[in-house]
Amino acid sequence: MADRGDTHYSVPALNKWFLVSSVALLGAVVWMVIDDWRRPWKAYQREFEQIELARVQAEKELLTQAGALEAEARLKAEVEQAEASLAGRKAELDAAKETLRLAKGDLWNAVEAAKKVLSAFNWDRYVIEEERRKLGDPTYRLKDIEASELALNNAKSLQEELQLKKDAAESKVNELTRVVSDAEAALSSGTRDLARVRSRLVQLDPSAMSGPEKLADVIRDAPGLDFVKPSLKVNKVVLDRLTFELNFTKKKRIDMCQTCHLGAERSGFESEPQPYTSHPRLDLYVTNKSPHPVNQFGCTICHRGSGEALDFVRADHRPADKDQAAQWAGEHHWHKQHHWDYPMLASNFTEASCVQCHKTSMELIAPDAPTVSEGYQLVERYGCYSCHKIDWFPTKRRPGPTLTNLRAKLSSEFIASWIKNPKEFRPTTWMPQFFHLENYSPGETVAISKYGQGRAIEGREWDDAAIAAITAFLEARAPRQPMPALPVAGDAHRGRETMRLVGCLACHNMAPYGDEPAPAKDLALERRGTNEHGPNLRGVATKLTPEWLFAWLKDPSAYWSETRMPNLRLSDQEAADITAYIMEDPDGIFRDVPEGWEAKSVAMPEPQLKEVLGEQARWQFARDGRATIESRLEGRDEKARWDDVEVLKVAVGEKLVAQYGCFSCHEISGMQDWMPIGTELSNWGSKTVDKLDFGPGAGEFGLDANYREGWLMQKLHAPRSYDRKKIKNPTERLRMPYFAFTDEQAQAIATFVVGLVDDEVQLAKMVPSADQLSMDAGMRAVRQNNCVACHMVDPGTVTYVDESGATQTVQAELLNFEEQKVPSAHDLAAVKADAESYEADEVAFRVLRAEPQVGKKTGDKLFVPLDKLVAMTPPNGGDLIRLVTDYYYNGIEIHDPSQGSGDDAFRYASAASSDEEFSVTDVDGKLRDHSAEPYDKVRWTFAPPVLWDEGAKLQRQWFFSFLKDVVPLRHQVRVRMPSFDFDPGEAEAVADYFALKSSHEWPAKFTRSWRLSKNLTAADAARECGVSESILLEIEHGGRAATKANFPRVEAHIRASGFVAAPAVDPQYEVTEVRTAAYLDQRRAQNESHLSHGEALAVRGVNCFQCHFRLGQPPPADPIGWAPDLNHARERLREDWVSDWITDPALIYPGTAMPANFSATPAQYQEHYPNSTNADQVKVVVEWLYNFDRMYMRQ
Amino acid sequence: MKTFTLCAVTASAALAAALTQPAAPVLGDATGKVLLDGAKPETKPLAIETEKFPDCGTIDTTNETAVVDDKGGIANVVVIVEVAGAEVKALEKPFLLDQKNCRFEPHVAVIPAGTTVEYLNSDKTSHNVHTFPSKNDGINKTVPAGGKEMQKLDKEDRIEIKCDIHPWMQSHLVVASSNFFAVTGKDGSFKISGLPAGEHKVKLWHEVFGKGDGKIVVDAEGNAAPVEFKLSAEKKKRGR
Repeated sequence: MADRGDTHYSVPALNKWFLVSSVALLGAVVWMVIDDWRRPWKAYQREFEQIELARVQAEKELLTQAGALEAEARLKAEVEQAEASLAGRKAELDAAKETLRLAKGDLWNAVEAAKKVLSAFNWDRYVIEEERRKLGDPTYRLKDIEASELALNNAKSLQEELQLKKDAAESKVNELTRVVSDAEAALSSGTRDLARVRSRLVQLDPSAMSGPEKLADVIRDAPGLDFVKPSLKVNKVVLDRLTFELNFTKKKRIDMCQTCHLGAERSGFESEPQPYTSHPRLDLYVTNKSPHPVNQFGCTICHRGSGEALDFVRADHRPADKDQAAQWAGEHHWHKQHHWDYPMLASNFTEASCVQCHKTSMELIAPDAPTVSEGYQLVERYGCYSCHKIDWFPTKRRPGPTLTNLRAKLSSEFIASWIKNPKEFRPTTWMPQFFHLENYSPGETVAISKYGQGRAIEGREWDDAAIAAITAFLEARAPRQPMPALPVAGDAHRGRETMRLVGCLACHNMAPYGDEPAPAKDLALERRGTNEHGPNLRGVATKLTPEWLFAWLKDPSAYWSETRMPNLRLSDQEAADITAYIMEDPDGIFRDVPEGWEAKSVAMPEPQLKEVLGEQARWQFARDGRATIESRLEGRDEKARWDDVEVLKVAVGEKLVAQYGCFSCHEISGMQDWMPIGTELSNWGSKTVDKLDFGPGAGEFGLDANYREGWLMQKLHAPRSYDRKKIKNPTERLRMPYFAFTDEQAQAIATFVVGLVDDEVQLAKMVPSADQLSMDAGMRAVRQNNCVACHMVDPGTVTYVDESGATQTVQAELLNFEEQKVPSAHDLAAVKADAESYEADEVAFRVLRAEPQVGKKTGDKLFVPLDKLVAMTPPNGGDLIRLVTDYYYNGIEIHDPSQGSGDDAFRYASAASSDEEFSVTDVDGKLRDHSAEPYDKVRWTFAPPVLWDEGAKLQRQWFFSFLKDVVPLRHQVRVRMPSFDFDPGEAEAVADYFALKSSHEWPAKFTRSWRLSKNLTAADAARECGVSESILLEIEHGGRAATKANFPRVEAHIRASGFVAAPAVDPQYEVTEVRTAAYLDQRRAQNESHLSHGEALAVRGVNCFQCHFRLGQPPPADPIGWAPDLNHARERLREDWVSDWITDPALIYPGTAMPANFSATPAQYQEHYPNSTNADQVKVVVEWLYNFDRMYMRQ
Repeated sequence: MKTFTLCAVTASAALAAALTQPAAPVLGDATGKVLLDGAKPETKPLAIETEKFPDCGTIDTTNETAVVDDKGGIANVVVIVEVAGAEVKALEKPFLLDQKNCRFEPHVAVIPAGTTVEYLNSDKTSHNVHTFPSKNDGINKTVPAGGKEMQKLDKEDRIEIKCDIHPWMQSHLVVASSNFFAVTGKDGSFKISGLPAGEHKVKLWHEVFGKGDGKIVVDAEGNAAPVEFKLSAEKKKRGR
C-alpha cells in the first residue's frame, strides 16, 4: 500500500514491520510444529523399533539355521503335490461339486417349502381350535387338521432326507479335497513361527517395505500431519477408577509411561537398557495375567511421578543415588520437579506403595515385598505405633512392660541407669535412648535459670536431673508390694536342664555382648532371629530378685497382662530350679554385664539437683504463673512443697513422663488412657515436602533430604538433628528417642512410613476375601507368638546338579556326617565347612517330598557330591529342635573364655553335674543317657513336633480348643507347649491359618499324589493333563496364578481317570464319617464284627499300647518308647490323615518311631481278622480308633 | 577297529587266565586279637523293668555295648580285611537276625554287601524293626510274634537296628564290601580264613571305642603271624 501521507505513521515502515513480524510468526509456528514433532519419546520409539527389528531378524536367522525355510519349502511342495493329485481327479471333483451344488439347491427349496407348510399348519390349527372352543366340539374338522399335520410331517421328512443328501455330497467333496486341506494345515502350523516373524518384519523392516508404504509412513509422521494417524504414537492407559488429587479436585490417572518404556510389558527385554527393560516382576505386575495388570493399575499408582509427562525430567524420574543424579543431570538436564507433590519413588522405596492397598494383607505380601514388610514388623517390634498413631495398625498392645508394679522387680539404681541409656546394659534391647542426645549435649545451654537471670544450665545436668525425676515419679506410682518367698528351694543344676528343655531358649538367647560371633558350640549363645523374640537374658541376675523371677516364671501375665511371654505351666519346683540357676549363675552368664555398666543413681549434689529441677519446674509449670511456682519452690505452698527435693522430683517427673510419652509404651498407673504424643502417621506419606521441618541439619547424612524418604531416614538415624542451630525453649525441643537403627532397618521403616498415604485408591482397593483375612491374621498370630521357634512349618530345600547336568530342587533335610550326632545347620556354608572337617566328598540328604523327576520317594536318601551342591534353603522354623537334640547328645558345653577357643576351653554340664558324666532327666524323674541313640529317635521323640501340612492332620475345632487350653499329648517330651494368653480371635486365626494353608496346598498335593501314584515325570503328567510342564510344576509348587488358571482342567482330567484322594480341608467343617450311625450300620451289614476285628488287630495283633498311652495309662517302656494317647485321636485327627498315617508313617514323617504295621505281603494277622488285606486291616483299625470311647463303654 | 580291540582284550584276558590258572592261589588264615588301650570302662546292666514285659520271657540284662575281658580283649569288634581286587559275594542264604527274649541276636554282625537279611521275631510279642542306615534304605516295620521281614542290603554301610517298643533292644549290622571279616569273641580274638597272600588293609569298628585300622600280612605259603590291634579307650567328645 502506498503511503498517501494522511497518516501519522509511515505505511512502508509499517509494512516492513508487518513483514518482519509475519515472517517471525510463521517461523515461530514452524518452530513450534517442528519442536512438537521432534519429541524425545519418538526417538525412543524409533530406537526400540531397531531393537525389536534386530531381535526379529536374529530370530529369523535362528529359524533359518534350524531349517525352517527348508521345512517350509517341503511343506509347500507337499501342498502342490496334493493339489496336483487333486487336479488328476478333476472330473471326479467337479462332479462331486456339481452334486453338492444341486443338493444344496434342493435342500434350500425343501427348507423354504417346509416353512410354508408350517405356517399353513399353524394357521389351520389356530382357526380350527378357535372354532372348536366356540362350538364346544373337540372333534370339529378333525380330518382337516390331520391332513395338515401329515403335510407338515412329509415336508419335514423330505427336508431331512435332502439334508442327508447334502451332507453326503459335502463329505464327498471334503474327502476329495482333504489331501490339499491337510497339507495346507500342516504348512500353516509348521511355519507358524516363520509367519509371525515375517509379519513383524513387514511392520518393522524398512527394507521390506514397498516404496509407497515408506512414503505413506513419511507422510503420516510428517510435522503438522502427525495428528491424523501417525505410526509413532503415545501409549497411554486411562484409569477410570484411580484418581489423584490435583488442586483440590480428583483427577483420573492417565499414565503414558509406556510411550517410552516399551519393553516393560513384555518378557525378553531384561537385559536391554532403560527405558526398554522388561518389568522385573511380570508375574506380579503389568501383564494381563498378573494380579496388577497395567490397564487397571497403570504405573504411577505404585511408582508415583507424573504419569502424563512425556519428558524425562517432567515425569519426575528419581535417581537411585547421587552418582546417578549427576549422570542424569548431564544427559537429561535432570532436576527435581518442585511443583509435583508425588515424585517418583526411588527404586529401593517402591515397595512403599504396597501399603496403600494391602493393609489387610501385610503378612501375605511379605515374600514379595520384603522391605516394606520388614518395616512394618520393625514398627510393630519397636512400638512406633504406640507413640505415632497409625489408624489401621492391627497391633494395639503397649510394647514395653508395665511399670505399675515396677518396684517389685527393679531397684532405683537400675531404673535410673536403664533410663539413662538402656543399650548400655543390654545392647540388643528395643527400648530407645531418650537422654543425653545431641539437643541436650554437654555443650548445649538448655536454659538460663531464673527467667534468664541465673546461670546457664547445660544439657548433661538437665538430663541427669530429668532421669532422677522420672525414676522418682515411676517409683511413686508403683508402691512397693512385698513379693512372697519361694515355696521350695531350687536346684541350679536341675534348673539349667529345665531351662534348656522346657522351651525358654526358643525365644530367649544368652549371646555374649558385642559383635563377635559366639563360640558356636552352645546354640543358646547364638542369635538366630527366633530366639531374639524375647530379651537376651545375659546379665538378668544383676537386676532381678529371686522372688520376682519365680513369680514371673509361674505366671507372666499376672505381672504384665499384655506380655508376649506365655505360661509354661511350670511346677513350683521347676520355677524354683530355673530361678536358682539364673540367680546362682554357675555358668557365668546371668551375672555377666557389659564392661563399664553399673546400676547407680544419678550422682548430683542435692543443691544442684534442686536448682536444675526447680528450673525444669519453671518451664514445665509455666502455665501456673511465676508467683505460684516461686511459692512452691520456696515451700510456701502446703500442697506442693517443692523445697523438699523428693516432692520436686515427683512433680517434675510426672511432667517429663508426659512430655516424653513414656506411658505410650508402658502402662503407668493413672496414665493408662492418655493420648500418645507422636505425630500421627496414618497418612504421613501424603504430607507434602514443604510441610516438613527440615531444619539446618538436613542432608548431613548424605541422604537426599529434599524428599520425604530422605527426611525420614535422617529423622530415624539422628532424631534430634532437626534441632541443630535452632534456639528452642526446653519444653519445645524434639523428643523422639534414638533407636540405633542400622541403615537397612531405617530404610525399611522409612519405606513403610512413606507408604502410609491418603487412601487415594479407594475404588481399586483390594477387598480381601474371608480366607485371605484369616490367613493374614493367622500368619500374624503365628509370627507374634513365635510359633516357628519350636515348630518346623515347612521343610527346607536343596538345589543340586544331577548326573545329567540338570539343576534340581527338592524338599529335603540334611543327614549327619559320619559320627556326627546332630546334623549341621541347613546352610550351604555350614555344610561345606563340616564336610571338610569330616573329609566327606558327598552330602547325604533325606527327601521329604517324593519327586519322580529325580527318582526319589519320600524318605529316600539322596547323595549329592559336594561340588554339585548349589544351594540350600533352611526350613521355616524349628530352631529349637536343634537345640534340644544337641542337649540330649552333648549336654551344655560351657565356654571358659580364659581358656581360648579350643576343645579344652569347654566343659560339659548337665542336670547330673558339671563334669563329663552325662545324662538327661526324663519325665519320670530318672536320669538316663540317651546320647547313643540315633538322631531320628531323639528328634522325633523329644523335640517339638513339626507342623508340615498340619491343617490336613488336625481337626480345626480340636486345634482351636487345644490352643485355648493346652493338654499334654506327648508325655515323654520335656519341651512344653505353652499356654498362650491369646487376644480374642487369635487362637481361631492360628487354627484357621493352618487349615487354610493345607487347603491352599491341596491342589498341589492332589496333583502330586496322582502323579506319584502313576509314577510319571512332570513332562509326561503334563502331557496327559494337557498343560505345559512348567504349569504343572508350578501347580505342584503352589503357584497361585497357575493353580487358579489351570488347576480345574488338571483336576477334571485326574478325576476322570478315576483317581481318588483325600478331600481338601474345609476349615469350617470336619467330617468324622466313621463315627456316624449311617456309616456304622452300613459297615455292620458288611462285616458284623468290624470293630472287634479292629480291636483285635490293634490290641492283640500289633498291640498299639506297647507304645501308645491308653486312657492316661502309660505304656510299659521307658519314656523314650512312649507315644500319644489313642484316646485323643478321634477328636484330634482327620480320619483320612490317620488312614494314610497307619498305612505308611514314614511317608508322612520320615524317621518317625511309628512303624508300618500293615505292610507285609501276604497280609499278616489273619488270626485276628480272617481273609483280610492290609487295606482292610487299616480300615478296621481306623474304625476302632474313632469309636474308641464306644468300645470302652461297650466293655 | 572296535571289533579288533575287543578281540585283543578278550584274547589278553584269556591269556592272563590261562597263565594264572595253573598256580592255584595259596590261601591263609589270619588270627588275632583286639585289645583295649586304656582303662576298662564301667558298664551297668541294662535298666529294664522286666516285670512290665511278661511276653519277653527272661530278659538278659547284660550290657553288651562295651564287653572287655580282664586282659583287655574287646568283644564285638568288627574286623574287616580289605583284599584288593577280590570280588564281593553275597551270602546265598538270608542272614538271620533274630529277636529273641526281647534282644537282638547277634548284637553285632557283619555281612557282605548284597546279602538279604531276615529279621525274625521268635518272641510272643510283636517287635518293630527300625533300622538307621547311612547308605541303604531304612525300614521301620512291625514284625508280629513269629513273623519275619526280609531286606536286601546292597551298599557298604553300618546300620544300627532298634526296636521302638523295647527301647533297650539294639543291634549293629555292618555291611562290608568284602568277604573277609569277623566279629571278635569274648576275649577279643578273631580268625579270618581263606586270605590270599599279600599285605591287606584291616578296618576295625566298635560301637563304643570307634574306628581303628591295621594290616595283615599273609606270606606266599599262606602263613600269617597272629596280629594284635588296639582301640583307644579314651572317650571321644560326644557327638560332634
